[in-house]
Amino acid sequence: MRVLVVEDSSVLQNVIVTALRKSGFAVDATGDGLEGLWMATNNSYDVILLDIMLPGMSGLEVLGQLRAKQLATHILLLTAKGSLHDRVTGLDHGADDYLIKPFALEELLARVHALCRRSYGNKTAQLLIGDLQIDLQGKKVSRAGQPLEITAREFALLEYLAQRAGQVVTRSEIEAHIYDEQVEPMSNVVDAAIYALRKKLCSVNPAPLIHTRRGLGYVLEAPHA
Amino acid sequence: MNSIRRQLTRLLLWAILLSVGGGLLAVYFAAQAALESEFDRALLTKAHALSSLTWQNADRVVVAQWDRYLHGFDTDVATDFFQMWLENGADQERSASLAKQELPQRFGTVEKPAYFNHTLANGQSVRVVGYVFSPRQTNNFSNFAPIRLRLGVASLRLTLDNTLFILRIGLFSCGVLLTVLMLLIVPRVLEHGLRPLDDLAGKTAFITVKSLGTRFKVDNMPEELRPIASQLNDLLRRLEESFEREEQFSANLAHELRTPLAEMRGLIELGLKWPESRNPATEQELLGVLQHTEGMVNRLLDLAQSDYGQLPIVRKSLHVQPVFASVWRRFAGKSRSRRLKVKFGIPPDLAIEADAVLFRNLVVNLLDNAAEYTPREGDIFVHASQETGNFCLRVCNTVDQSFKREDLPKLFDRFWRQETARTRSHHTGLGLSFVLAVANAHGWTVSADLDANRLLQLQLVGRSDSSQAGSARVPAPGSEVFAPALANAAAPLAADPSSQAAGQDLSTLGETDPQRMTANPT
Repeated sequence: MRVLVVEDSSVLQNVIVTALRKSGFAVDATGDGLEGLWMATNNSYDVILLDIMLPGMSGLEVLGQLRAKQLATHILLLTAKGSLHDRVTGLDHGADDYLIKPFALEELLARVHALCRRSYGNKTAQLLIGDLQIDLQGKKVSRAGQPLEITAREFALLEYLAQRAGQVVTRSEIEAHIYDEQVEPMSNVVDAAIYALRKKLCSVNPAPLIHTRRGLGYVLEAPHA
Repeated sequence: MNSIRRQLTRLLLWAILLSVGGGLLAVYFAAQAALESEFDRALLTKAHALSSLTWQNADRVVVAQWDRYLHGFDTDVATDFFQMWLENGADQERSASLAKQELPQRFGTVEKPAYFNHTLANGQSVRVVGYVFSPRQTNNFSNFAPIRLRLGVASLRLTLDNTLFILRIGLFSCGVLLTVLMLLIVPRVLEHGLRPLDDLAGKTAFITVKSLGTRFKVDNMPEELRPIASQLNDLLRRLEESFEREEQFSANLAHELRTPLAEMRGLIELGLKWPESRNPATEQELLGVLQHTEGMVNRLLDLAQSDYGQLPIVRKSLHVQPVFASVWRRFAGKSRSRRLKVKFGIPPDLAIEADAVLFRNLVVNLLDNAAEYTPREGDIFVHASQETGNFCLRVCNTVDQSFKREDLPKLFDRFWRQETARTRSHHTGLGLSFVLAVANAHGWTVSADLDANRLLQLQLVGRSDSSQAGSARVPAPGSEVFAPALANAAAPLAADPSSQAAGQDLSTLGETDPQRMTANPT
């Protein structure tokens, strides 16, 4: 899952970015409202964390412009403005959630996870595809009842494919949602990750779960009976 | 409870009732006097008729055929009575209607008869006229001495008393009716008349902290209430502004504290959850956030002390030039990197009486703001002058287009910053509030102005040799200068054409004698 953090406090931005990356999210960050608007418009994010008081353009203006452009990405307002009026104003501008500083990192991560799930219409933290079970909260994966050891990046890839189970997911979509600006573009990192993930999933049950659609992308779905 | 309406109602009712009562009584007494006068005239006419029917015939008195012409004296009518006496009191003649009753003997003259009321022996109330007269003598006996007769004529008062009684009843009824009408009408008239006052009171009663934006429509109000409504509007406006500033300050304070708290909490939680992410830079960041917060809290405490006039001041003579030179070194690097054009014009011998620590902090804030907010390659001018015991210190810097003249009044507000973001981490938005507080504590005046060349000018004026601010003036010829309110600043802001510094164009500061420039980091 890919998250954009727009926060002008460099200390807080580093904290949030580190926590999100440690939790398996691909994260882009900026401290400027205008740059945040540009990034949100030109990249595909699952969740945007947006401060209100920003240089360049205020968070509420960014939010308003994104909604005016029909961008449906879930946006969490992250701000020190905590009055009822501020919260109502933020939500009225089209925010999906509102978190007041100072906040617990656990709460922030939980809210980001919840918004990610809502992005794909899931309400629980457990995903089941055939005999594959994914615990989004505990970051655990098991197949046919047997736990699998996978890396954080592989988990993020599997989570994204599982959130869109049954749908063709293009390579560019995977790049956009799993890899942030730290990953060099035009690399074959997606193919390599898919290969590694397939290998681990088939180590317990040889029936393939990730299918290649030539020229289109990949589909995660349970093997047909 | 004291009520204007009740008082007015009571007073008006009393006034109306007394007026109506007095009026009705006057009408009654006037009518009574007129009726009695008319009655007396009729009575006198009867008496004169009797006098004219009375003749002196030799030494005898003859009353001729009175019963033929004056039927009221008859027994069967008996509405009039008369009795005539000789001068010695002997009864000469009396009407049949009087029978054996006696009329009192009270007499006037023919020209001025005596009128009085009397009750006859049979209980009838009569009006009596009495006078003394001499009857006409018959021609044959004109050599006889004239006889003086006393005449008393009375008429029953029954008709008159009945008329007066009906009049009394009528007037009393009118009085009662008018009273009832007044009781009904006066309160309603007053209610109608006092409705604007009620509206004003009602609207005022519903003004709460949430509705301080309420304003009264003065144009529609009666003339008497307009000054009150105008004053109320003015009070509400000031109250609203005060509340807004208070709320803004609280919101800003919460915001300013929440951000560093979030940073500290985030850094600590990150270290606890992922210990491998900790490194020396983390502690350094944490320390930086703590120092920023501590600085802000200390500055707020200073401002709170200043608000209560408790900012401790130890005055001593200070040379201004070395303070600016020393402080500027902190910002020289930033100034160079941003290619700012900086010029100082401070006389080396300029000394002021001030608290050394506070004045240094004031200079830090002025120069820090100038260095921070001057656009790249912009100008900073610092100029000081001394005239007749007053010093004038000006720190000017160019500002970008985003700074508006409307921002001037907010410049000294706590936590106000032109930009809404708090990216510039070491700025708390309290710097100029602190400058104002220090100036206030010293009895100086501080003002801000923005000229057509986008030069923001912060000017500090005060006595250089004493704590009195009374003679301090801000030279600002021809310009609108914003000067924040100072709690103990006694001097009104006024232009001082005598000050050379006032007339000096800031653009010429660059031509100041280089020997007088203490620092020119550019």
